[in-house]
Amino acid sequence: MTDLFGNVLLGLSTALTLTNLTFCLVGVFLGTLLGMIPGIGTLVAVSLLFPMTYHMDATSALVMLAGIYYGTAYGGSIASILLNLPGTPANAVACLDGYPMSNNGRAGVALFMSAAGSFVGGSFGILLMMLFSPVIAENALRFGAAEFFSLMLMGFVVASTMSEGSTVKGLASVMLGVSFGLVGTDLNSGIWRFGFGVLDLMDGISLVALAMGLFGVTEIVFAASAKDSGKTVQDVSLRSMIPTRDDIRRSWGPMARGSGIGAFFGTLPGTGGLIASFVAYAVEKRVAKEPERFGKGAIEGVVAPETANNAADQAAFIPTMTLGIPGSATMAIMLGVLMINGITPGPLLIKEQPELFWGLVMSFWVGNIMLLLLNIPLISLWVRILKIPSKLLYPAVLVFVCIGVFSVNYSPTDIWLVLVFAVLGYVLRMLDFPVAPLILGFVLGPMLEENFRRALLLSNGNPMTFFDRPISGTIMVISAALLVWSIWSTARRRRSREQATA
Amino acid sequence: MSWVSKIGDKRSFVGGAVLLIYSVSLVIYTLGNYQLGTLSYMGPGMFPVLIGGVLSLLSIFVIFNAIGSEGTEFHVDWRPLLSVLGSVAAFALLIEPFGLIPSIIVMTAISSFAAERLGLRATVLLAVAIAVLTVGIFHYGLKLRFEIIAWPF
Repeated sequence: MTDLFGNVLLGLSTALTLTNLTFCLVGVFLGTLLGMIPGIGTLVAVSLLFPMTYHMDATSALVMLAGIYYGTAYGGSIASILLNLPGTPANAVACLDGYPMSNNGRAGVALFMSAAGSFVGGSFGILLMMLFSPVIAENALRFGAAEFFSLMLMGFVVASTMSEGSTVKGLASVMLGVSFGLVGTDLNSGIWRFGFGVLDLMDGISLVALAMGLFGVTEIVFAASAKDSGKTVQDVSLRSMIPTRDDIRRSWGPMARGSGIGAFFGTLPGTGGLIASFVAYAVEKRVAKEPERFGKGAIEGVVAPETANNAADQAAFIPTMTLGIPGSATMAIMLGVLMINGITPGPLLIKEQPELFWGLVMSFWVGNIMLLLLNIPLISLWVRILKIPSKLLYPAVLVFVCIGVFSVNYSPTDIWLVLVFAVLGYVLRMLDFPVAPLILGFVLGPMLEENFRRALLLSNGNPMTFFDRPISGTIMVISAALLVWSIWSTARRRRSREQATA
Repeated sequence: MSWVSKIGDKRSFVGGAVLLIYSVSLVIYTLGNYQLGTLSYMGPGMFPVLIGGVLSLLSIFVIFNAIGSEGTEFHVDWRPLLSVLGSVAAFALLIEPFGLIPSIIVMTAISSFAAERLGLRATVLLAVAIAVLTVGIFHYGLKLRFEIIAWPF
């Protein structure tokens, strides 16, 4: 316990420096702002600001990007409640009861309770991270190359199972990402692979250009194709935000359940806030005494998913920071920040970089408190921003993308790479392949190869090493079972549909 | 071409086929250029060949799946696509010879075609606003060494 106390102090002394406070504020502010704009999700927001982190030290960079990340979950619910347009996919469920509430003149209460729920969920996730990360990291120290290889494989399988579309396509997308990760110098032999004579590819494909092209630019193409909703945004006064005693009484349960559900799905690789919010909503509807209230403006239907997605967002940091294995594309970018700064992610991170780890954790508290303040007293600011037509924002976002990418190396080649990946992202969507798993594969690819080689070197080339070792074997069996189950259930669903149409 | 009409999910079918070509070329290129080594002492070619192999199996799976299942249509919306991509290309071409401000103005002008048309006045105002904002943030705020404006001739 004294350990934890010392760590909290260490974390606070990092998080409360003026620089980190500023970057935290910038992060949560931009996160809320970008989260509110429909079509710009968490991944786009994070990759948009990613180039700026090249000019900062690792801790400040992570603090800012993390702020953007969990800030989007707060901001996304504002658009869900006021416009019936989810700011990010994870906020889609909040539309179901949030928008009816706002039609009943209770938008203020919905916004207040969703901010409060987000804060509770976020806090629960941070607490879990503080208590369990050191323990998990400690145990993971015994993991060898074989274990890391199978953990990464499991991450791929879960991410593909959970991504939209079929599992096989998700896996194909992951593998495509891994193959892009092959470009660059091979560490073992020093041979320059797949360079095709382009000097800029010597160090591999730039993660910034890849993320920006696949997400930043392509998402704007799609967002711009969508018609402007033309909905009017109602004003929200501070007075209208005060919840009734009944609202508060109804919200305790959803907050508690939402926190638990969110934290569970957050730590699983590949799932995160989207799934957590859907499950939390379904659970509330199931346990409710009057389920018919749902969909007509039930406060529980706003609180539960918003609590869950924030808990999931925070809990997702646990596997990323303790094992060095990101559960989602967004977390993969966070890992990218570490690697750019020469920090090896993995179980040793907490021991070797305690300032970074505990500073980041404590900055989560700071950021969540800032978000609470930004979302409740300053709500009228956001309502005013929501009134800006989004067609004015697209050019601004694009300019930001280009300047950001250019600022990393001051090389136009990087901009051309963005263009190439934007085209690829568009083509992949056109061919109905999910894009997010690709980033996961791209970031993990080099680590996958390294651990694969090392594991086989240690076992004298015997591939059974991945199954003989107990931990690695268990993980492999779980992954295989998941894969078989998901392919089987897709096939069954299709067969039953065919019978239905026949 | 009667067999084409039998494919239910054309988008996935084409996707699988493209991936199959890609992964097979990856394997062939690797085999021709890099050493495989052995399983215990892998050369630079081993992992790429394995990845290419797995990917080609997956794409064959996707192709077979696509034949039996139903798909959805995809409609290419050319205006936003070309204007967004065009604006990025314009930035890549202009940033070195002309510097930040001219690039931003051209970029805003091209990308303003993406959504419903903005008027000329709104576009100009937007370009000025974005230019002021970005020069403020990146040049004065973050102190990055951009050419604000340059004249190559």
